[in-house]
Amino acid sequence: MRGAATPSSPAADLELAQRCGRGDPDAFEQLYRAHAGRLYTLIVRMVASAETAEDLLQEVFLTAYRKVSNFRGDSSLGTWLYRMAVNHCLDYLRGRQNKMARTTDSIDEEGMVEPAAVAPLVASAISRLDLERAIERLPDGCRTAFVLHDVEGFEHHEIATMLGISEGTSKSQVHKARMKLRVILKGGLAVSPRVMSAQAGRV
Amino acid sequence: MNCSTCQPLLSVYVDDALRTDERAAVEQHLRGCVECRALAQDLSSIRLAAGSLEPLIPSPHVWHRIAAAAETQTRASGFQPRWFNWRPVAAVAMTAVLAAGLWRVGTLLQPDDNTDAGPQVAEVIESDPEAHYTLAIARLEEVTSADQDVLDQETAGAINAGLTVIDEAITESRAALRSEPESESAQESLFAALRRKVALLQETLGLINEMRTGNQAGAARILSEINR
Repeated sequence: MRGAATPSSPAADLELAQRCGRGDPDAFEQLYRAHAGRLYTLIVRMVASAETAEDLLQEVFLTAYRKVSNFRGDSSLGTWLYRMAVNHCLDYLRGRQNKMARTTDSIDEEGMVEPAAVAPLVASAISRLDLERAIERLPDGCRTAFVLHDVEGFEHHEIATMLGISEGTSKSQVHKARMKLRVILKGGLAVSPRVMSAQAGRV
Repeated sequence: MNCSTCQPLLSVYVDDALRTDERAAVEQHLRGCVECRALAQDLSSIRLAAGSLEPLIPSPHVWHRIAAAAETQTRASGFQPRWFNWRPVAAVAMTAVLAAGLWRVGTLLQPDDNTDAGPQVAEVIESDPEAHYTLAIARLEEVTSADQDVLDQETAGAINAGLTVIDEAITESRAALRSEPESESAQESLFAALRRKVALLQETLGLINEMRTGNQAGAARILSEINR
């Protein structure tokens, strides 16, 4: 499970958790410095917004701060925080679903054009920035499975448990995401749905 | 096997996770189909590129926000550790939040003991986030407005302009909620606007702190985040 791998010993984790639980500011900052980057990376890609990711990262660490006294070392602190971050992302995406559904679906289906016969994609030639932007433009459902599988390295059975879906659904969502990314990366979709819907929904 | 039965299997094929018989059938089709071969190559490239994406780094101001908010939480739970002495102004603000928080919790819960207030306070905050935000905003506003003379006119103006925009969003969201009390999106917009306001006030507080302690670099960093 690549996404949850954190180099720390159980004893060190437990000690850090206990210090955080006692309100030791150095310990809490140490917890943040050790894990914020990985969690932020996950959250940004899950919710496709840096601004939202910062808010969610804050919520994750505040929840962790509140609950760290309950940490018993059954998993590593990294895994414990990671699960919390995934759950915060899923809660957020569920809340956003209703608002976004109509815009995303219409562009999702109508905006997709089969790419013309252009050169094949070569992994080393795909720019990271292009890929990040393309991932942002995926519909929430398949983006979540794609990020967890292809970017974070989880197995389908793990994703199925995390998302409460079947293993088959996880596989088909990852396939759907890759198919859409292929279209986007080959220039088959001219307008970013995320940008359009963000502008339309701005308060 | 034809293209329409082959293509849905191609992602699992490039992940090398097909059953042996399916794999053989896919490979037989791929030998004779240029289009599916190109698709398999593209899917494989996307998977490889995604697996080698670089980690991203959160902006430094996120930690300041979290530290200040954790302090609020700590005080609100009635737990008083040696916490963030380096933010004297924030400490004053959070003490005010604590006082108001305990008062509100007192009226809500009518507690008859003070021995285990922590979890109850946390539950109240979780069950009534709007009250929590409103309270935090009120106390933060009190302290930041009292100390705003530390800031130059231009900065104070920019912060106030930002607050005005957020206040308008709050007013709009509240109006939307009044007409549609069940609307999840209106509720979410309201919370988002309240969160933005708390964040901006916390950053303002951080800025005031840095100005007071003469940390120009820290002040400049927070200022650039506020202006962002």
